Amino acid sequence: MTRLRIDTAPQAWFGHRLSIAALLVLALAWARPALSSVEIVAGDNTSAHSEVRAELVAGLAGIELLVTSTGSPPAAKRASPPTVVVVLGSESLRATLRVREEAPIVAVLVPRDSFERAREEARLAGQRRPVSGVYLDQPWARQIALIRIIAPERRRIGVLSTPGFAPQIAALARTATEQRVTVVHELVESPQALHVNLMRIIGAADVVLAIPDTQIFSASTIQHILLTTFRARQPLIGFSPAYVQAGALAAVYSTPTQMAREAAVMVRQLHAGQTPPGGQYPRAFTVSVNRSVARSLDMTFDNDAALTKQLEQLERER
Amino acid sequence: MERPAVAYHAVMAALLLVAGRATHASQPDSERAFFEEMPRVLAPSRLPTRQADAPGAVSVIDREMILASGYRNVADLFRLVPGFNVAWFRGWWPTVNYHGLSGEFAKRVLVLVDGRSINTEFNESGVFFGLQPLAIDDIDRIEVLRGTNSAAYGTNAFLGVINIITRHAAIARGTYAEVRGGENGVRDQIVRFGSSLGPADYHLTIGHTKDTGLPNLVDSSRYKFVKIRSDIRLSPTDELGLQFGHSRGSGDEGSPYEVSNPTRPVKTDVSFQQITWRRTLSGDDEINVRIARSDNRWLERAIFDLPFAPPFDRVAFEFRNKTTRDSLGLQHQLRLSTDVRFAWGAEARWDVTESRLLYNDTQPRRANTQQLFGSLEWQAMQSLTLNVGAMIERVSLVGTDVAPRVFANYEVIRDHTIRAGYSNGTRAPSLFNTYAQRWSTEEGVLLPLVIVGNSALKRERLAAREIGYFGRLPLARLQFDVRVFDERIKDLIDERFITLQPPPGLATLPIPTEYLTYENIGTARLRGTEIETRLSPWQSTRIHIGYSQLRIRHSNDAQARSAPRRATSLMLIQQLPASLHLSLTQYWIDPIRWVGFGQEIKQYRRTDARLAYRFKAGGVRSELALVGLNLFDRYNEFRNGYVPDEHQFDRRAFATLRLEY
Repeated sequence: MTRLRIDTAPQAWFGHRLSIAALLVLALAWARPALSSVEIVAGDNTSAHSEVRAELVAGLAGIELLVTSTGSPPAAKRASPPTVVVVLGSESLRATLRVREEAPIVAVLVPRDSFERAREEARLAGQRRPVSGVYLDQPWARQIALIRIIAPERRRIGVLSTPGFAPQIAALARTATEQRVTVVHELVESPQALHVNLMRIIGAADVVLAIPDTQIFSASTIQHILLTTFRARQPLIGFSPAYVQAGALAAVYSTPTQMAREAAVMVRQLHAGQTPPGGQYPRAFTVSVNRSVARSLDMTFDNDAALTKQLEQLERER
Repeated sequence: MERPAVAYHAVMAALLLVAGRATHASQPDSERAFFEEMPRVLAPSRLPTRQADAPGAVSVIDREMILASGYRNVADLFRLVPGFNVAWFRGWWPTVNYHGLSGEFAKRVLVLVDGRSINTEFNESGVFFGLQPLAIDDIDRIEVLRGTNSAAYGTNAFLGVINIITRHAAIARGTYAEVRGGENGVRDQIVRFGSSLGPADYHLTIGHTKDTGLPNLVDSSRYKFVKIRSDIRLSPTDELGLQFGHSRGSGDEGSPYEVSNPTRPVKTDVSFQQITWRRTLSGDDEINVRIARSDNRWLERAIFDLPFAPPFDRVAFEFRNKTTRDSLGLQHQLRLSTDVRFAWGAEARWDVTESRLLYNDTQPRRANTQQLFGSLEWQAMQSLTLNVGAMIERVSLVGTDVAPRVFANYEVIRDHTIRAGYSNGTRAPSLFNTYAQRWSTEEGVLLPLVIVGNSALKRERLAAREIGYFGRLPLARLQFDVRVFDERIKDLIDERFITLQPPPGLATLPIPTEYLTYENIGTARLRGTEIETRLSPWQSTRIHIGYSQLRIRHSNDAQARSAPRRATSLMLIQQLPASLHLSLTQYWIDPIRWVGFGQEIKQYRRTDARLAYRFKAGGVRSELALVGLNLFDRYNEFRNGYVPDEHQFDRRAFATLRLEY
């Protein structure tokens, strides 16, 4: 059976798609022996990764770029070691952290949780490379602030998670307390019990926040979740534009371009020898609202751009 | 009827297989979650009609109200909707009417179940709520559009539309069982099982219902039904829906008090198949295609022992009827600009009915309908929405016609909208009205009442003006809708007695024969006010009030009282401590005289109550409910007049146990 998706694991050296190979050839052609260059570890061929790569190439104009894949020979064996290594996705981050090199790393498209775990594992393994990056996910404070803007009267936020997400839920609850809202949490022990948990959360909360816990929120469960919450007239807040299209009331997320732009700034700073900033949530973000769902729920508010501005304003004031 | 079921399963299995191949297993990866494509679940057509923007009045009966009512049949729920009037003509034959003008065959309101019309050319045409393969717990919500909606729905939507939306297969998972037993021989068992198979969600409901009907009336009934629904995700934008339902059983007819009306079972067989395909391109852009078939069969046989000399002392009677409706429809909703939404659609329908008794031979009688409609919603200003639409419809029996509609909704202040509109409605005559040749029994005995159709019938026409107000006080959780209307109807199809000579060769009973036909002779003017209020003063309390006041001026005096002058309904749903749930429903209905036969019935009051206890037993969510219908004095919703107590609705109680796991 042919695989549709290209693996980014180091072994998948042969599997890379033509576009990556082309990019590689192009980059290698540029890579005249230079004293300092930035290495971009290419990631996979999804549109998010492609978008990030394109934006990085544009944002790092003027700096020598070397686009490699996770399967490339270690940079140490190359003519000159890179000043910064940019990695796309958690797998690339882990793979790169296994390489004994000095150059600081900038990670893109890695959720905060995976970012922290990878860094911790590397630290335990004696890896001293400084790791910075722009997280893939949004800070809880921002998501709660969005709920407070679009549904100020809904102050009980329902969250479903499997046990693995417990630390993140604890952080969410702390943030909620700061913003004077309540988090109602339901632990989903097994996928079969999802409906029972969902009904309970609908009874206890007045808005449901989806989180990237794929055992609960995925393309195969979203139908059930959205139909159930909608029938109870409870809005679901998603974390990607796909959720808004599916029928979530709203979502706040950063586009790959927005994240890549911020990563490019980090790379420039590191390239110029500044101190590594560490991991950061994206500063730029986008708010999307499903207008049909909002209308059905008798909710009216500004257009997406105005909502984004309002949320930015709120963050500046804090 | 085994063959369609087998075919359906085969088709479904094949489609599941195809759909299953189209998707691949997803890897649990929090990173991928951010970029995962999602199916368009809340497609525009799946969202409820928003009352403030609707071109007309909309009443919603939601699941909580359905459950709180304790009713066994969907027909009873319409008692809660202002302007509607419900009566059980027999224990298995309810009639649901809006604004009167009808008897036991209700035909001026369109009834849709998941978009498929259950109006039928069956028998004398109408909607047969008692015979549908539909479990009340399978219903998600009911939207009732009060007022003519021919501009969007065509001929059957003459006075209004009932839209029954059943639960999506993805939200009726697990096993559900419902057992009911009580007075009047009520014995119901309903089981539903829901699950998913790859990208397909499905559920299967089977049921058996039984009761002895109304007191002093031979109208016991027993029905069994099966219904399957499957919703299959083909891609993030495409969903395929398959439905199949079949109900079979019998309801008793006849009267032991009448010499000429032997008791006999009326065997019915009602089935449907439906395939829908929905493509959602964005939150505002959706295409929907539906193919459906409904099939209705009726069989009634009796030997009449008559007080006449031979050969008329024993007359055999047989009534067979087979009716099929096929339909193919397409709808497209889209947004043309930020302020303009447009919906258009087309439908073709093929109706066929055959009955020796009704048409004097077994040749099929056919009617074909083609419809094309468009509706534009323009938000002219922040607070002003204009709605313009029209339907062009060709019905083979009467030709082509157009029904337009114009509505303006103006939001005076936030949450308070006034609306005003003008709409035209038309209704084509039924196949029975047109082609009836109800002359004789199978053996050639002339019937005492002969009905002869009229092929020169025209459409009934209605011009409606209405003003309305819809308001909300979100803090008080109060919702308020007022509809003031003036409906002028002309060319109403009404019965007319005529003189005819029976064709030679028929044996004539030694009693006079009456001859009846249909003509466009009626005119009517319906004026009135309907008020609907919902409030929830506390989290634990819900109140729903419906009030209607209606004055009918009709060219036929007998029909001027075909709807109550005033009718009020009040439903209270109260959560009590200790997992108890109480609901009380009260009705006050003015006198009414149903069209056709039957006498005027007096003003009545009716009180229904339900007390439920919810508990969990070994992981099974359970509910035990006691339901009492008409707790106080007996009353009549219908009266034939042959026997004093006949049709009296007495107090009745039953208990329901519901289990879900």
